[in-house]
Amino acid sequence: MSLLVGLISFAALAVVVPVIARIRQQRNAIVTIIAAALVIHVAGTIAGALLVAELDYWQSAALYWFATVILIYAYGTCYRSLSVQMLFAVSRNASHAIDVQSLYDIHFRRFVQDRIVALVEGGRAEFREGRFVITQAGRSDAALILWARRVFDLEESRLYFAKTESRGEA
Amino acid sequence: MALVITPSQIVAASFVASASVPLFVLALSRGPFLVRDLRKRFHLSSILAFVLWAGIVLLGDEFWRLDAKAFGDVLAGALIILSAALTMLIVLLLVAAGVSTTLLVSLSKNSGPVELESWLADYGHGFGVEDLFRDRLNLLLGTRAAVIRQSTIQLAGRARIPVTLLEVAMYYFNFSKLTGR
Repeated sequence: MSLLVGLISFAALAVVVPVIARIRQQRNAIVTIIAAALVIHVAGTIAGALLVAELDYWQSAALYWFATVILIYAYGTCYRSLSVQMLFAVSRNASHAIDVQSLYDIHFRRFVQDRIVALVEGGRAEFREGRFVITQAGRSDAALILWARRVFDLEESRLYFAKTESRGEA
Repeated sequence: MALVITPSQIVAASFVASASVPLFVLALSRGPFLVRDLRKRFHLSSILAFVLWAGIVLLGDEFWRLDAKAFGDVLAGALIILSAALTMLIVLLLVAAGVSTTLLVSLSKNSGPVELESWLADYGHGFGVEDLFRDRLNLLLGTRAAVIRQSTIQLAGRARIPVTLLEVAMYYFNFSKLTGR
């Protein structure tokens, strides 16, 4: 029954998420989704404890948060994945095909520029007189990222398929 | 109200195993145990965490009761470790291969303002966005969702159902309008 309580709580979150996504004005609603997940978790646990003879909190919470982490991963993929955006660029063409150069020139560069817009909107960079400059918040985040890359030896993992010849060309 | 909040031995062991995931990743990131390939490093770390958990669980007495409570706790413990591993994967991918994070790092290496093209060319410490494009294209082709013929990328027939599911997910998360539909 405890697992079922976790499952029902997640079902409630799954109903709430699309509503949040439509109410939130900002493109990235991840913080709001996590906040909603916490509220529903607390409400679900209290309701479960009242309704079930004996609610095992950890069994209920484990199922709920596992499903929630997958939901957040899926959200991030839909929001951010360049490969998914590229796939849509191909599939939404009438012929389900696109020239490689067009994919790069017309779509891919726009996807990357969207990220730059998000960095500016998020206060990590500024656009001044036709040029970009990093803000103090951006510099702090960059320092944290570099620290994490050093700690986990991620210096050479900027690309999924980092290849020696690619580095040579660059 | 009957809420059992004290974790069982099996669940408590899963907390230890979950905490060990980043520690195993760290241990395999340097020194004599270095595993260079990030994917292999993460997989091995997750497997080691599960081995650690299984070892603790099998040495304890709770599991050997083989009752419904023990099986429920084993399922809960496995889900807790999987959640920790997935969270670690999200963080690692974000730090290692995130586009926004890499753009930010590239910008931080410049002492002064930069023009868009310079910034894009300097992506990933000189990889540039064209290499990023090839990388993500390889990733897409690697999933066999699309094939490349001469210089044209064609949606693979087998990708129709996954694409439809992705379209549903985009609608669910309200991203459809952002991607042009």
